[in-house]
Amino acid sequence: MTNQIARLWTVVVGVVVFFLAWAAIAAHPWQTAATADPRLSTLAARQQVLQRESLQVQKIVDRRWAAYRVALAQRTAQVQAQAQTVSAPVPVTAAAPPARIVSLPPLVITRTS
Amino acid sequence: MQRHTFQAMGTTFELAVEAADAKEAFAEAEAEAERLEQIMSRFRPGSELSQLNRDGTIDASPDLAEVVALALDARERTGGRFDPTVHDALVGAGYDRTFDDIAESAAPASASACGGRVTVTGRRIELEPGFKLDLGGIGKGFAAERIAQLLALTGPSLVSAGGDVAVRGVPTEGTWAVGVDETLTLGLTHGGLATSGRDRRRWTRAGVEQHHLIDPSTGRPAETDLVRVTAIGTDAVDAEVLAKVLFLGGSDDALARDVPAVLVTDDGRTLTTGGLR
Repeated sequence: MTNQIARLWTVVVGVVVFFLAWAAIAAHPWQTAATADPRLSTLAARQQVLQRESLQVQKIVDRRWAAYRVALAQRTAQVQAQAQTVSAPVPVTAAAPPARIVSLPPLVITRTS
Repeated sequence: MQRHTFQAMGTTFELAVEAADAKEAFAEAEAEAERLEQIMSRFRPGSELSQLNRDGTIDASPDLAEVVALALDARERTGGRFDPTVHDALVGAGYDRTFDDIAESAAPASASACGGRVTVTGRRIELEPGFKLDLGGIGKGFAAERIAQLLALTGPSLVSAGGDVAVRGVPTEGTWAVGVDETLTLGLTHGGLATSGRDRRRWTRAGVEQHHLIDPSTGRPAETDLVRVTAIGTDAVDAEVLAKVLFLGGSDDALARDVPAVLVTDDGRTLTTGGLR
């Protein structure tokens, strides 16, 4: 009986020691943490380049927007001036009617409907 | 040029189509005129218009709703000079049956108020109590346009519904020759043309001459120095409204408006206006 308990304990302790050893080896405690992923540094460099380019693009957009606003103001003033000219009273010329007096023999005669 | 004539809506329809054969188109045109008359005639008890005038309200067909809406739009545009609520005034003047059936009478004519409220909501039409519609003139213009649309599928075409003329396309001659009277012919290339006058459709009541062009402001046949007006518009409906408005306003008003028209005055003069030459 005593031997059986001792053997059981021995097996349990053995299993625990086995898994602890496995975990310790799997953690690679001998590998140095200083080795950095080269892709990270590439991404960081790329990010900085994009930030610089973004600032340059923003400056270009700001300049063009300012130019557009100036042009829009000028065009609006032109349109308003033209509208005032059009709304001023001018002699009205009647549009050409879709009919004219002809000397053809009539196809039909219009009568009071 | 294929020609065809038939009677509908109390007038003579004359059709002309430039095509090798238009028999089928002419048959469709006649059927369409009959269908529209069954909707818009005030003399047919079973027509939609008669039902509306009887009941004061109707869920109308799309065509009746459209014509009534056109008439109301014309009333608004003309400040009430064109008015579809002249039914009772026409009846009061004696035009209470088809024109061919009107008999001379010793009973005096009477005036009736016009300008009744009409509402069109979708296809629902409602009349102010005491008012009825007459769509005689504008209905013919509408029919002329509708039939011209049908005939246009066959070839350049002209439809004359009595005085209302609609055209589609241009014939080989370059224009549609429409006689206004014995001496004057107009060439129409597009749009519509209509004639309104008191030289036809007239009768007497108690010895007083009556005619069918009611002045909505008096509720009686219009008194004007014009005998007849032929107007040119964007289509036959527009021309019909224009002719009536010019007729009611008299020659001075018509000349001042300067729209394309031929005016015949009661002293026998024929005047053209609006650049017609």
